[in-house]
Amino acid sequence: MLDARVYRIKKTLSGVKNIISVVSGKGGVGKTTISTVMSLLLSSEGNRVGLLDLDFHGPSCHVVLGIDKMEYEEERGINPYKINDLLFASIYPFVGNKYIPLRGKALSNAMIEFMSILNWGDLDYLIIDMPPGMGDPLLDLMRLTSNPKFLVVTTNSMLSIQTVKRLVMYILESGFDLIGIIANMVKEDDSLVRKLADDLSVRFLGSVPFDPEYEYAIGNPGDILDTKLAQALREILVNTL
Amino acid sequence: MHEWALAESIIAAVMDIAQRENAKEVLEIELVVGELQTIDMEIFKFALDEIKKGTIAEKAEIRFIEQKPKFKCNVCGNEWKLENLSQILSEEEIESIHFIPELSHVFIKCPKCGSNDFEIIEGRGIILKGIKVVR
Repeated sequence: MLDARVYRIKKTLSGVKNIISVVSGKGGVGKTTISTVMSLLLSSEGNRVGLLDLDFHGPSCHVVLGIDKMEYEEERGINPYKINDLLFASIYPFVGNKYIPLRGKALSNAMIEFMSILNWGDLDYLIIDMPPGMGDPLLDLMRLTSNPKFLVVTTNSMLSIQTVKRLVMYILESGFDLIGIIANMVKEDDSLVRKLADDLSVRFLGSVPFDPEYEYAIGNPGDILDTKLAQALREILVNTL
Repeated sequence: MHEWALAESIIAAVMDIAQRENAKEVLEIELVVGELQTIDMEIFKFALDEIKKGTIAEKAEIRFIEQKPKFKCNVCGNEWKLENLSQILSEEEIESIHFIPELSHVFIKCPKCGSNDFEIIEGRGIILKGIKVVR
């Protein structure tokens, strides 16, 4: 059966110059941190930026941004929430802190529905915080958006590297643009991530240090931008985008 | 006003099908309206009429088939219908489900076993069932 919502997703994303999906095979490697801080950095430099939290089982970008209560304005769909100049969308305002038990098909339907009613307008970047893994959200994103670019995040751990390798191979074999790989939460060594990038002939974008101060800055975007983590990510973005 | 977004999706899909079928005119559009999504039908109909103006579907008659939400529990197999959402849900919860019907999994439980693990087997939201065209 033809899904009418797909048409509106294309329309609502038609003014977005760059769709960047922050992905990883594994959970807990810092996708939310990288995508949210990256959005804040790009926005602070005058770009028109949207941040979309598609981790429906565990939305948490709003925590990084320090949002407790948010409401969407309705205007022939819904307008993303504005925090300073950053546009932000998440299912958080619909569910609050309740658990969200969704099977694959329901998850896919929820994501398509949400994406089809959002009005992004004209953006330089739409950053998407993806859930971990290669399930429905990733496959739907690949199916429903035109030319999404992928930014892979991993820690320098064998546990993450093996799974990330599979994901990178899938992205590349499916013919999508892969911006590169970021090593996150690096204490000293990032050699496994560098080797992974080298083995797969993809760009190693740089390392983001494990920064204990970041935990205390969560919830305060101004403080976050002053952390070592944000400084490292800023350098990566300057060299990458 | 989320109904406008739904109407835009429908008319865009109708236009795409009509174009692929080399249609000169769209005579009829048939829509299933699942009541779980609590669509404001007045706004939805108005939006459809406005959006189809100036297109080959301008004169199309729109038929609506309303459908009560029906669920099947994945745990105990129980099937049930919801006649009136406001009997078990708050306004806020109905509003959330209005935007994303799958959020019913957050707010609704199987009345027999209490599980949130169920399928929405009917009456979820808007479905474009078919169109009649002149070639």
